[in-house]
Amino acid sequence: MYEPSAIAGLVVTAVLTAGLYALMSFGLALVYGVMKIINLAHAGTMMLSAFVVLELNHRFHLDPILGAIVSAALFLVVGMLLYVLAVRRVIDAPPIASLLLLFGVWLCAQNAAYFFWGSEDQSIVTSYTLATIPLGDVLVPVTRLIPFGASLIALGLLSWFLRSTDLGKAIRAVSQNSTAARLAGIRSGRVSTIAFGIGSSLSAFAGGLLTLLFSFTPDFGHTFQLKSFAIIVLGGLESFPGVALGALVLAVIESFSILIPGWRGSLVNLLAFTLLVAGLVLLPGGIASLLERRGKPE
Amino acid sequence: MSIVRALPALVLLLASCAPAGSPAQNAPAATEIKVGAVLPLTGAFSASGNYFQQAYQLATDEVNGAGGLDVGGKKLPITLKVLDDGSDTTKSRSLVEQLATQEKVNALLGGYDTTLVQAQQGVPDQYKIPMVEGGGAASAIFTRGNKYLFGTLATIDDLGNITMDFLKYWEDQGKLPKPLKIALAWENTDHGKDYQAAVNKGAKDDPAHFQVVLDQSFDLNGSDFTPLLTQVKAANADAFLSDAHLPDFITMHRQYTQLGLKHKFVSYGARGPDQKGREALTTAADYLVAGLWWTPALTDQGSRTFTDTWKTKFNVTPDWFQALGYDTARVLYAGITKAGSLDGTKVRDALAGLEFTGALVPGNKISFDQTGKPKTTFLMTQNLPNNEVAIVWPSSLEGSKAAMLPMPGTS
Amino acid sequence: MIRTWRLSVWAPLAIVIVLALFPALFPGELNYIGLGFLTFIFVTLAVSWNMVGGYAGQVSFGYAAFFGTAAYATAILWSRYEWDPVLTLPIAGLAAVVVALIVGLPCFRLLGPYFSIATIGIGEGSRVLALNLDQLTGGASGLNLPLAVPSKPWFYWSGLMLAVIAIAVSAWLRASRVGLGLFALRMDQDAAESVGLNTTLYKNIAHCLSAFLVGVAGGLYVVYLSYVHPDTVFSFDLSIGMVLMGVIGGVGTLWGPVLGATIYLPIQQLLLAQPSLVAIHQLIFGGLLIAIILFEPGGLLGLIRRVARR
Repeated sequence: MYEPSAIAGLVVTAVLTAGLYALMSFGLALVYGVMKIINLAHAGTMMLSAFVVLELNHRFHLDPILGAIVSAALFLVVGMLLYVLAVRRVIDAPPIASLLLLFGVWLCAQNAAYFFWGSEDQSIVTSYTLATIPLGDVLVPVTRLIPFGASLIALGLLSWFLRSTDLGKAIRAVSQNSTAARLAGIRSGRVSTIAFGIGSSLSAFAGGLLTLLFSFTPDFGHTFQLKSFAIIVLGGLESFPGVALGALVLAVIESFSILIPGWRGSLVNLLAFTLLVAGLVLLPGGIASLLERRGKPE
Repeated sequence: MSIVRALPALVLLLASCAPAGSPAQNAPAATEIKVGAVLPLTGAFSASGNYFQQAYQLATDEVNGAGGLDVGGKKLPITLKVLDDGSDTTKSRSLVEQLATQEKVNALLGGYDTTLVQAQQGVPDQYKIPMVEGGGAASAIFTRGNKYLFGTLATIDDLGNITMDFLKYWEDQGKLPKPLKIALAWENTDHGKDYQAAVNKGAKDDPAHFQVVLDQSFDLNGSDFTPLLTQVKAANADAFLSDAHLPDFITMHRQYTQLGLKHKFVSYGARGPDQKGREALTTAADYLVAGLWWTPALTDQGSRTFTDTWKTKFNVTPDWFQALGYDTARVLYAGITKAGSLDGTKVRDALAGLEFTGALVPGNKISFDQTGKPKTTFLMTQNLPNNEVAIVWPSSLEGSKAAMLPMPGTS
Repeated sequence: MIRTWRLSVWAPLAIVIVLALFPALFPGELNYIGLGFLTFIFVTLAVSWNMVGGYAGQVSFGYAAFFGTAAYATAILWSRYEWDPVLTLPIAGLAAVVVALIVGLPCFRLLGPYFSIATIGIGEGSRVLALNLDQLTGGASGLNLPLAVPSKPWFYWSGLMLAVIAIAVSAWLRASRVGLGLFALRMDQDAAESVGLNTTLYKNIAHCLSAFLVGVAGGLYVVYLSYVHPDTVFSFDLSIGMVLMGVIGGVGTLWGPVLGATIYLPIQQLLLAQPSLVAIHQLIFGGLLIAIILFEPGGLLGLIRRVARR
């Protein structure tokens, strides 16, 4: 029924989607790792960033990839400000406080977007929107390759950053034990501020690149955010390679589900939610913990 | 304990603020016509909700600009009050009730999207206030026994039927393979389900002309349709029918094109000529066939005037939302004039027997069957290169051309 | 001491009597009667959620799963099997309890934010399921229910009764041994267990009680709306709303959720009805939420208490 090239196509699409999912989830994972906060404003950040990229594209004819980089820089600052002004105050409060605070921020972000851009579907077209690169029998869309490539670069950069730079090591220290880190002389407040900024910046970068693929409105981002939750849970909540693995698992399951006889395509999002709950209950450390147990380095 | 002490006082205060007194029933001399509407001005359906609001307002302003609406020989101004339900069902229903009971509107204009219309539709009959809606196209709306609800939007099952009629004609003309193998994808909404049911029924009733080789649903706002399209490719169909809303239309057809898929006939239900879709898809949108309630490509006088007026006023080309919103309001106002009174039941009876000519919809006429369902139909268009649109069905429509089938590059 | 105790019983009783008299005294005020009904439903939801989210500190973002399941139980029994809608309500409540038990089993093993995220998955997962189980639920078409329903005052009084029951259950729970256990495990689950508290049992008791009440509210709501659709009754906005009402009013208290629910719907309605405020109503809610979290975590009840103490 399915030719080998079709199966190969599914594999390729799963991998490319995994890259997209991973890119979207790195920001969430960083924020959670450092301050144990679920950033419910993640969707709002991605959405606002998409609109920023839209404006840059319409006014200055800036390519969305460059626009995403500019937006990432912008949201680094915005994220740090948000942390200093609001998030910092609820760090030690019960988790519900930060959850609802950031949800409130998301509501405000949505309203801002409605106010400035209205409710219409927006999309960006570039010269390479429909372009493909042949990979054997499979045609790889350029616009899917870009987020995938970006996610690999992000993964590499983040891993290097956390391992080799002073700030990165400080972030890891605060993630593991913020009190001990403080005792060791690390200014955990400042580290957290920067970490939140970087997390927002990553979300913004992902949101910007998403404009290459999808149309969007101020409502954009909700489903992606939920999938990101599933991914970071699968990945182990605090490990970037784990996030990449989690993204791959979700993407593969979603892509190959179509082969199940009698499968209804509209059930696809159920997979993410099931994995989310199953992951939390059965695999508290995520897939990364499975790997750790087998002796593989993090 | 202070809060507990304060509460009774607060509640008593609230209760005493409730305006007491009986409503002024049929005041001997009405000085205005109160029309109410609850639309999604924010939230998931807000883009379309805002189009409807603008269109209702335009129709209202035109009537008021001409001195008001004729009611039994007297011209009365129309006051239109539009409330935002935020695309939420509970709010939609309770706001319509508020319009009925608090604002005491004389008539209602419907909301947008079938789910919200279905939440609203209990209210007209309960308070005997007629409602004309142009935003809900599920056939299920007209199966609930309403007497005070009228629709101007031809229902989606009809879209499926007309598509099948169209395809049958071209098969018989030798332009498409017979029987036509159809790969069907549909969004999991009442819209998609109606379409899917109609296509399947058409195929079942006429196996000499149709064979459905794939029937697959997808969830709204999908991020990757490659698996679905892989299934479509493996099905080896002649025609690809998909019922989708704008975001999924864009994502799916981009991927369709990127995967190098080709079919002799491709249609995305009601999507195709919309400007946003064409901008997002560029040349990939060429030759797509769509079934619409109205298109700015229509050349009859009424449509052309409307398109020009809208372009001048709002700086965008109108789509079916605006046109149907405009027709919906005008139908209601025509009903009121015909009744010669603001009494709900009289207006309802007038609407039931109304033959509204001068509508923008194909055929330029709107009337209703006993369930309030409109006796209107769809037209079909085909996108042509350079952002052109041709009307391809029915052939009786002014400016109708023959469709280019099979789609260029596929025979 | 006795005087204040009496006041805490007589004052609410007086309010209930006043509220109950309202439709009888002002039968023409259908809009307020309808709004009153919806407010009582929301009060029931907020108070019930608070039993687990407030007393036990297990913040669930997936209560819509209970509301939705119960709503469909009522809808299916009523429309397909022609049950009297009122008789379906206890069944609806029980259906919600079944779901609560199924959910609680794996989820109560999780702590803090993990529990919350899991409940998001549960809530949204049930919505997608309901959207796809066409044979059972009608899928994405929803189910059209009979338009002939009881009168508005009937709904108002039923809602009031349900809300009163919910508050009574909440008050009883607070003062009971189970309630004490819940408060203990909210503060420190490990410590509570180490003194021999069966935290899992207590969590499940509270969960089932609150699910039952939410379920009955769901069934009643659906009779009122004459329509059920997964995006309405399983909606994430509904789940979040229950959390918001508790937090805005004062989470973990008896009257906080009541206060939160009382202002939640009418305020939204008010904002949406003013064309000038329509454009910023999300901003107002978001801003309110942020302000409460940052400046008065005790919610409005906390604010009132603080002001009263001055």
